[in-house]
Amino acid sequence: MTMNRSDREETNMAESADRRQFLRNAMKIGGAAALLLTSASRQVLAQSLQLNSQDMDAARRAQLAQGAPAAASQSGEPVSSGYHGCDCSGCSGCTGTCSDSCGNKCTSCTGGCQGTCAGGCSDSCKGSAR
Amino acid sequence: MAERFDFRTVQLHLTDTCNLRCSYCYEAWAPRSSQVISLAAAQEIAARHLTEEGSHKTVEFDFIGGEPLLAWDRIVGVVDFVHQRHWPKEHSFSFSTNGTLFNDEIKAWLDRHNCISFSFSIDGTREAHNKNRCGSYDRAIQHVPWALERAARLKIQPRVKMTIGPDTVPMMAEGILELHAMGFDKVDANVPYENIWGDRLESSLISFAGQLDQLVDYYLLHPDLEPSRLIDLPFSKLVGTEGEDEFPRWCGSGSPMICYDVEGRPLPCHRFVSISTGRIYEGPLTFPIKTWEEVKKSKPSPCVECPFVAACPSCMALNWLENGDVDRRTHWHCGFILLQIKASAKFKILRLSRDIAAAPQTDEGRAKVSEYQAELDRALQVHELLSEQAV
Repeated sequence: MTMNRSDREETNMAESADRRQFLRNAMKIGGAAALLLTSASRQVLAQSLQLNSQDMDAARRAQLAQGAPAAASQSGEPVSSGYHGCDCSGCSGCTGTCSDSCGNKCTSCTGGCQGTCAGGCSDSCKGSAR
Repeated sequence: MAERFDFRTVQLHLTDTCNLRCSYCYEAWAPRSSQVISLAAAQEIAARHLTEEGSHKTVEFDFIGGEPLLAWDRIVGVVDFVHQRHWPKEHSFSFSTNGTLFNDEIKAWLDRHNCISFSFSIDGTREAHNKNRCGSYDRAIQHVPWALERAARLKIQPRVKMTIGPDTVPMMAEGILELHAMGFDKVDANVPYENIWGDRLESSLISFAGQLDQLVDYYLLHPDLEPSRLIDLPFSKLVGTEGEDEFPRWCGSGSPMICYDVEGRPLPCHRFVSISTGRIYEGPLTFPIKTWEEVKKSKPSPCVECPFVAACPSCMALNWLENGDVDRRTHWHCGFILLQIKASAKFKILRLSRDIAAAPQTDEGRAKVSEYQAELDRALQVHELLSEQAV
């Protein structure tokens, strides 16, 4: 799946609108959850499945890593999109099954990857994990 | 009919009868009749849908019950009938089974018919399964090697469904790992929508959260496996809810689904069968999509204010049964789903952080980083929200 610069800009605008809407909705969760969950249940939700400091550090570093959306857009070259249907661009040389093949993006490949996989390779991978 | 979809799902509820009485089964609202759908009625229904007008290309026949293998001759009768002539629509067949009633004759027939797939119900470990499903683990599990070998031979994904109840939450992660170890690449697991938790709700939620944490660790170490939806709910649906005109629905009850009970009566889906509701359903067979405004005007459940409503599984039949409206959602499973969403956020944060760190310093790699970062930002927002604002 590819898209051109105008597509990309449109996607970015939609993304921003999504985020604004998400945040507006998010402000309401206190009220909604208060009706649906008991106090004890809300406490379980808040306190469980936490990220430790190492995880948070790794996430912050990842947020700051150098991406290349602007350069790709300015060049007018097609940009691979992970948000539109099936897209195995996360794996190169995959001749088998891509994980999440009809979801947002493929990050790993099983049963026939001959190249590289962004998220790792299965035992049968003859290439290498990125 | 079914214009929004390029397929139509036709469920044939072959029989009410079942040889098990699982602890969480919703088919407990009325006595089970011993009636089996007549072969003539089942064949007529099949023919009607294979010739019905509509833009859908495929009709998916799903045999259910009760236990559909107790009406095995009906499955054979419908499949053979459909195969005897050419139809305007393409078709496929499937059934869901507790797996205890396979025999050599059934297996041999299935080995000769690659048009039909099936899903096993196995609730994880032997102990968990036996607690939920009447001690039937050994009777079901003996057929798994054959089912896996058949799936591999036919190049179809073997399907397994695991239901989690109050007695088995503490064994959830171990159960999923066992099913993967058996050879199932994907494990469909869920808690029921019904009010089955009683005074064990909070203790079950605490245990459930710990089990989800174990699954996050496990799937990070096994990227070759398709993560269970327990920790991989669709983030793409988490945003833009009210921004969309249509109120989100999770299932296909009414469209693209239709179900026929043992008397050949049409229903929106199998969950409307009388043993599952305690009444004869006489309402509409399809439910027009509603806008957010329409839902809000009609005594909505508090779910309409939740930012996660579009990613939250919901049963339209149970909504109708309990609240009189397929879009007025029940929320006994709310705490479990919010924990699943938080686990999904944690899983995404850890996986994307790792993927970004490992991305190559190439144009392609940097483009990927940008995509991953957008998803990572969203996952961090969700995780933070469910850590602070919910309390």
